[in-house]
Amino acid sequence: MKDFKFIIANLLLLYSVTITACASSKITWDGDAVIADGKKYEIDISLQDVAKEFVINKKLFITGYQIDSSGINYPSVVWFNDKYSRSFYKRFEYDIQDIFEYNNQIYLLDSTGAVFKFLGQAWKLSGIKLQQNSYVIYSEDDIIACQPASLFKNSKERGKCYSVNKEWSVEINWTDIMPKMCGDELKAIGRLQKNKAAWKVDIETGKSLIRKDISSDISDPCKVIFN
Amino acid sequence: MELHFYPGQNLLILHNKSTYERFEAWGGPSSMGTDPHMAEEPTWPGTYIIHGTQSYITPTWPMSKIKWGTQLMDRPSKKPNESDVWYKLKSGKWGSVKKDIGISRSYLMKLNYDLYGVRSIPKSWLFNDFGPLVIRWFKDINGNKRLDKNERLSGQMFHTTPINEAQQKRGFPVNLSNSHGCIHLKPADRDKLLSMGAFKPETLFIVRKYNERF
Repeated sequence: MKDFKFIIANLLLLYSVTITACASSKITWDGDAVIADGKKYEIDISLQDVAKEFVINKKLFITGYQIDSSGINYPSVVWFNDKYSRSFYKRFEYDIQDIFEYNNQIYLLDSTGAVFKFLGQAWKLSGIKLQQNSYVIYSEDDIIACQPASLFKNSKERGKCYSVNKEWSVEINWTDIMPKMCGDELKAIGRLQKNKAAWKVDIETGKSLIRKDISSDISDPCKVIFN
Repeated sequence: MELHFYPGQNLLILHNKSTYERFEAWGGPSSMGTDPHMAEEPTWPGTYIIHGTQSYITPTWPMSKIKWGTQLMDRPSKKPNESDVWYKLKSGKWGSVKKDIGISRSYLMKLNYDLYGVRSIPKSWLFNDFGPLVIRWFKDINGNKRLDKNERLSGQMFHTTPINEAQQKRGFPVNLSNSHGCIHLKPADRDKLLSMGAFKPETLFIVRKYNERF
């Protein structure tokens, strides 16, 4: 019994240490400071609107807009030095869609599909080109990206997911719920006519399955079960 | 005054006494389409009566949940996930575009840039799929030219689109395209037809078959 209590106590200790480690290693932006290693680093950034934050290899990137006095918004990305004592920014011509890691490099994707490589203090146009309005879903041994369907009734832009290296493309009518990787499979939730539907895609071949009877409560693609 | 629409020619004819005036107008495709959200359908041939004009909202299409021209308030924020755009409700209070429509501030910014070439949140909602107003019609079963209890307004209607409104405002060529079954007009033509009284209630409106020619 004593041994059992000892094991439980150790497990609880291990659990609490893990939780603390996870909590303290989280890096985030809270509006006027970077929170990292459990500490708060107050720092000014040159954005008036923050759209998204990305943490890649313990490096924080914030995307958003610099807004001038006439209300014009300039798409920009902000990053920091290691001590969070200095911030850097770069304006982009087009909206910033995503920041992702691929082959141990950090890349930024804009709304035209142009991909820029992070070189420490600069962003250089890379040889990778994605389709416009894409988001990167997977970037390990391939880049898999998805484009949402347009919200406009009269648009011909259909939603889809596609592979850059394996060159498959699957039409998926998704809009607000981002497709995601669930293990080795890409899953997505969208609509087919009046029904909520889900897609499962084999990322090696692009072969897909559709389920047309998804409960309206489900908003996590990974929770959709395909038989 | 009568209106005749020839969908196979993308042509709307305003027949007034002995004159015939031509307007470009695009209906649905001649056969059912493949839009996964809602399949495009032909503009159904038949004889109808114009019911009148209205601004239009519908939950079927996200951008059309808000009435064209509704006042907007930009709400940028330096905190992640807190920026938003507010829209004025009928009550005078403000609603959240992000919460009610599911659209982020940055998405709206991009739409405004794509349509109007300006990187800002517009002062009013310019994204309703049906434009500022629609012109509605109905099948007049008993021939009294009035919408009676057993008659209903067609889901197909005349309207403009956000992109055509933007093209018009920017002085660009206005390029029409097929609809989901409605009839797309150029904004300037809609205004001209309105001023000519072509959309007055009780006006006869005939949708011709796709193979009919004027």
